[in-house]
Amino acid sequence: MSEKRDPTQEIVRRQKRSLWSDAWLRMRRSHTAVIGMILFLLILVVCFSAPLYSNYETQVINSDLSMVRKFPIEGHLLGTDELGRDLLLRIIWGGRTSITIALAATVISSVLGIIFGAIPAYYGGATDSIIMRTLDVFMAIPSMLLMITLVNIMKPTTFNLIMAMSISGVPSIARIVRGQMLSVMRNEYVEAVRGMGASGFRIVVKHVLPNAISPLISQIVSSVAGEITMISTLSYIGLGVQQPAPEWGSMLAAGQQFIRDQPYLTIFPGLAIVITIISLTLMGDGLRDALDPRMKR
Amino acid sequence: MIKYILKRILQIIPVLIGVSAIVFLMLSFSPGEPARLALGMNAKPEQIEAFNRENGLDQPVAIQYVNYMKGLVTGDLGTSYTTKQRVSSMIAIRLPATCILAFGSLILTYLVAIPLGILLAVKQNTWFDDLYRVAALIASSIPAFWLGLLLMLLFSVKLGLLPSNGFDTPMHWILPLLCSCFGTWAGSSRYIRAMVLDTIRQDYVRTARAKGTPERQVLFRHAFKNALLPLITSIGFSIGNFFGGSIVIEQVFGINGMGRMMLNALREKDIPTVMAGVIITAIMIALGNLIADLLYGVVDPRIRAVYSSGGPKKVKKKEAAAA
Repeated sequence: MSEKRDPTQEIVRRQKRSLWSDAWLRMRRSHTAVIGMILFLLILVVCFSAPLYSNYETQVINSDLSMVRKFPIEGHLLGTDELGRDLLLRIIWGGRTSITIALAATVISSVLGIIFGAIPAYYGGATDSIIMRTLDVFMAIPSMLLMITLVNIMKPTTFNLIMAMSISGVPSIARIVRGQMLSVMRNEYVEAVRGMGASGFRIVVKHVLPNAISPLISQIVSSVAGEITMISTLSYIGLGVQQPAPEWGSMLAAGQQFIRDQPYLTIFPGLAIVITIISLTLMGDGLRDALDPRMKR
Repeated sequence: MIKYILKRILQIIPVLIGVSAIVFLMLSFSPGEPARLALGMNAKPEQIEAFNRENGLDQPVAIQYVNYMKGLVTGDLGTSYTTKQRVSSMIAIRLPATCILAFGSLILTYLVAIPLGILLAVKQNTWFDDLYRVAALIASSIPAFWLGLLLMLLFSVKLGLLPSNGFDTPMHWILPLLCSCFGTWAGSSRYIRAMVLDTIRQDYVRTARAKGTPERQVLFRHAFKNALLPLITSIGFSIGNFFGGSIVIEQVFGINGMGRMMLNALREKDIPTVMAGVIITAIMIALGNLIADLLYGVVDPRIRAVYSSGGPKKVKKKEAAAA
């Protein structure tokens, strides 16, 4: 018995490993994906090691009215903002906030999206109709509007922002998961596993989801970029991260007043957003190509 | 055909009921009293009570919702809590700007993206294609509101060519429209390129070429028409995005449109105004989807045949099962 089982397990394990290592190999072969990944890691390191080389209270929050809006000036690479604080440090600390919120919102909305996509796909019938029609209603509201409504009815704390962004991301992910799962569930091996007496939960989690999820992964990476745009947009219109905490969007809103004389205040924080999004997009595109089975050689 | 259109319009109703119920509930159960926000912090308890009675806020939420929907069916959008104006007249003033922005963006997006996409497909793997790939990557990474600020900086502050605030004349429309289209140009043109390349490899295109059809005709008659189909599907979705995006664009350029009205109304918990804005946006999206469906029939004779033979309901079910 054990002799018979071992070779099959060996094969299964080898295939599983080869999918991911293949994907990794293919990803490494794509220069743009590697550039994106290095860039994003660099941004992460710079932003999240900020407490090691700067003081949040004295350098990022406290204003220094003798240093208001000076650029170029020695000691401040990107100049100072409208309250005399170092712009570069505020951009770096702002990145911490934006990236944390975006990553958290993406993880939560992906988990919820997978749950709300898997349940209707597995059970079908009335459960499917009820959940999918409810999600349809949410999708009938433009995401920007839904988000603004959600943020507005809650207090703009970081936790509430993450929740609002997660909720509005759920319907689109759930739809993709449901579609993928329905097509995977038609495979014969699912029938075989069911015939062997596996529970519904086991079938979905162990046998169906892993096969349905790979098209979702690049989508998830790209959606981090979308969430960063979203959080900075919300902060820009005054609904996101509140002053004096730094955030790219709210820094842009504050800098807009001085666009005539100190345009650097609107240029630098925006550049930070664009560079971060480009790095994530490059990574997402690379992953998509790497995980696409049709690209496999 | 008419039967099909009517059926589709009827299908919009449950969506509207769902959207309105969700938004109404979210607004009603959120913290903050509308009366306090409308009358100010120093309002006396009697004043607040009178305000609540006048606006029906002293009743249970379910009854408030039913009352609101009753009004909606008769075309009454209610009265704003804060401005005391009829919501319908507030919207009448602001809807044109938002519609120009949203539908203008839609038209401008495809007017530029379709030819560009075809050009990119024709020039596949040339320097132009490569250069555009980089340009599109950067363009789609720029948040709309930042682009708005940059455009303002360049065209209004530095060059003094275009006005940066308001929406009164077509000159005012240029920057907001550019800003709203920029990101979608990049995405849609790449998408159209992929679609055209996809259809160009089909057998019937080879057949058309083999018959000696001129290349231009192969491209436009055979390849492009089929590449257009998935694009049409995205129209409804795009309308929603443009309406949602207009909230931000209106804020950047100080346009007195529906988006800004809703944003302010949300801050003040002005329920009738928010509800009206949300419902009108949902109707616009639903209409966009309907137009997309009808355009489908215009472009694709196979679908037209389905419409005239009693509606596509059966096909839809099959499709749903296959998806």
